[in-house]
Amino acid sequence: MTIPEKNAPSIDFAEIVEKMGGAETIREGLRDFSRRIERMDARRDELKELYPDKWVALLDDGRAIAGDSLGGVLRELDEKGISRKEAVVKLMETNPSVIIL
Amino acid sequence: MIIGRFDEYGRPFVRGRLFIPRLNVDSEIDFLLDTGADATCLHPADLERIGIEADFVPAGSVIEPSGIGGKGRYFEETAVLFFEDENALRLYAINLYVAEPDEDLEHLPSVLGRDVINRWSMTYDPANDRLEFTIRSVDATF
Repeated sequence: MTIPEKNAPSIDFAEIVEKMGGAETIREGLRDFSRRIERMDARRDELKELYPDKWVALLDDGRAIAGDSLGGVLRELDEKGISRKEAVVKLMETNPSVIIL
Repeated sequence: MIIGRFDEYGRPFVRGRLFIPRLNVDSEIDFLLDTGADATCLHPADLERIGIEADFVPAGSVIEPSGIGGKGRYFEETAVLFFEDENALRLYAINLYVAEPDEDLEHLPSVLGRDVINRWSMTYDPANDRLEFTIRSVDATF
C-alpha cells in the first residue's frame, strides 16, 4: 500500500478496506456492479418498450421489477428479500429530460 | 487505467464504490462525469437506493451551490471513493456533497467532480466509444 504525503487526509484507509472485506472483495464487488450495469445497458431498449416511463430493477437472474416510483420498486425488492445491491434500478424514460448541471 | 463508458444518451459515466464512515454506507455508484462540478455529489436516487434517505441526519456544513441547472441544498460528508484499474484498487478521500432528499432531483445521477477528475488524465472519445482515465495521483492504493 502507498499513501503519498501530499493531500493525504487523516483517514485510516487500511482499517476501512479491512472493514469492507479486503481489497479483493471490493474489486469483485466493482466487477459485479459493472456486469450489472452492462446487462442493464444491453436490455434497455427491450425494457423501455415493456415498461415505458417506469422505474425498473433488473436482477442478476434476468427478472425485472417495474413500478411508478423508485421508492415503490425499492420497497418491492425489500419485501421480496432481494438485496438492493443485486439490482440496477433505472428510469426507462421514453422522452428523456435534458440534464444541465 | 480506469475504464468508463458512454450511456445510451452519450453521457459519460464511471463506476466506483463509495464508503461514508459516519453513516457506515458502502455502495457501488454509477457516477456521471462532470468536469464543471467543483465537487463530487451524491444525488437523491442513489441516496434512496442505498437506503439512507429516510433517516439521513446531516452532520456536515450546509452547502448551497450555484448550478446552471438549478439549486438544491447539500451537506458535506467525509467519504472514501474506490476505483479499480488493471493493477490495483485506487482510493480517494473526499468531502462528498450529499443532496437533500428531493423528488424533483430523483432523475439526476450522482456526479463525479473535479476533486477526483483533476487527479486523472482522461481520454474522452465518444465517437470511438472510448472513455479512459490514467491515474496521476491517489490517496491510497491496495
